[in-house]
Amino acid sequence: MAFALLLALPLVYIFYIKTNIIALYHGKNTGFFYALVQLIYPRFFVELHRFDLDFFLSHAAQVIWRFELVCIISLLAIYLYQQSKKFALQWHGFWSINFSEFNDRINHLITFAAILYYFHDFMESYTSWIQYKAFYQPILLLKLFQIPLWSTATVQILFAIFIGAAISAALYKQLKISTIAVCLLFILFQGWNYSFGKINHGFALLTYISMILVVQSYLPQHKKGITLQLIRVTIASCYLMAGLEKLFISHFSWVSSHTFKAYLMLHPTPLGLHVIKNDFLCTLLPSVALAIQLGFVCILFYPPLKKWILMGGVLFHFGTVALLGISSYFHPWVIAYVFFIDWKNLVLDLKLFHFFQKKHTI
Amino acid sequence: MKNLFLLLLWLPFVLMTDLFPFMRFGMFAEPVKTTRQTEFFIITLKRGNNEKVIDPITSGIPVQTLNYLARNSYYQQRADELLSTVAQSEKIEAKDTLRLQVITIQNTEKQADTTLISTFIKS
Repeated sequence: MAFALLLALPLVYIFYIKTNIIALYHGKNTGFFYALVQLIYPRFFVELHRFDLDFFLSHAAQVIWRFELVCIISLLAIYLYQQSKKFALQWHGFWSINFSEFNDRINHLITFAAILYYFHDFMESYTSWIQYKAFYQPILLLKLFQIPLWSTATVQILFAIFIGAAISAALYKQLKISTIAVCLLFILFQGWNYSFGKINHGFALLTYISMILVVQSYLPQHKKGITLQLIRVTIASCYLMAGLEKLFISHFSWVSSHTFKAYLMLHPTPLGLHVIKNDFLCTLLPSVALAIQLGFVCILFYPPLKKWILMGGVLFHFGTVALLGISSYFHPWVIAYVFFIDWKNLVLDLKLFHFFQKKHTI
Repeated sequence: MKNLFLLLLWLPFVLMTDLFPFMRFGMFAEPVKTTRQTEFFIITLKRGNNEKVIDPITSGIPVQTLNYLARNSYYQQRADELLSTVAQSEKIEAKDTLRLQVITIQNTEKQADTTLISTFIKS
């Protein structure tokens, strides 16, 4: 059944999707397909002025074979799980890790303090969005829940709740209610921000982590290891997806000096303008960046490589700041690395454990 | 539960679009091929003889968001409306001139062209 569906999908693309994309591109309202594109890919109606038809057709074809690829990998994993006891044991072993409350407390402290720091000036931004409300185009999530821009007074109350909940979650108090409040408001605040055209991927990891921490708050301590591992898989997946996107979209032209120079020119910084003169560096740096993104997933399976991969990740983000001026050195993706650190071992190594032991019951 | 989360996590990658709060990480993935892909929209503020790209303090919102708004409003024929909205900022004085311009990189190593799209003078 599943394989029949996989075989049928290319036909759906040829006889339905491709035809409808061509019609949409030429300004025809195609009914259901038009509504579907407007719902999940509203940028199409701006981007059709920027890109040619082949761009959209090749992307649509990629959606089909990416879907097939993910399905085949998933079906293989399910097959292996059912047929091989060794694989099933390894699968369960992977998700069953020990996780002390001490580590959990430190992770909460850093994560929620960072979220609070990044959004401390949220009200200033919100006041300006009100000024630009004529250009508010709610993203899918806010569209589904029909959430407009609310009055400043209402949002001030929500912001006060956000601050209180983030402090409470950081201090490991009232975890269930505080993590839910932070997670929902964190998503809502970002949703408003992204409804003006610019989507910021900087907070993606912290958003995923906040969602997982909500689920974690309902679990007993001995089961929390699953959520910690899920956070790690999520972080590694994001790097892997970013690397795969480059490979699938640009193939190996992404690592050419020509492409990298173009990006350096589009986002000029003093260091970037210096590097642009060197062909070797303009090939080496994007190659290393791609290797870090694709190789980050090794952190899940080869613990000895952990510190090297994390150091590589930090250098990668610092490099994008220095060369392209994107984000800041206090990078939200780097904050997420705390979930790879065993704080208990670290403080034991630093002989600080007894100090913390007096503060908290472990 | 974890399987559902992983499914949702990878869905934007498969569909090649953001489904916030689940994201696609396609930034910087496109090869630089065509002139249309390398266009920059900027809004400048001219006061007297001094002209500079508008900043978050003057416009009220981050420059990157403003640039996206500028691009969208250009393609939706709302450039004048955008400039008149920016001009409502208290930091913009009477007789200040706002210009919405597009910078097109024709050849990534050689040439950049600037085209004026719209002008607004605050009365």
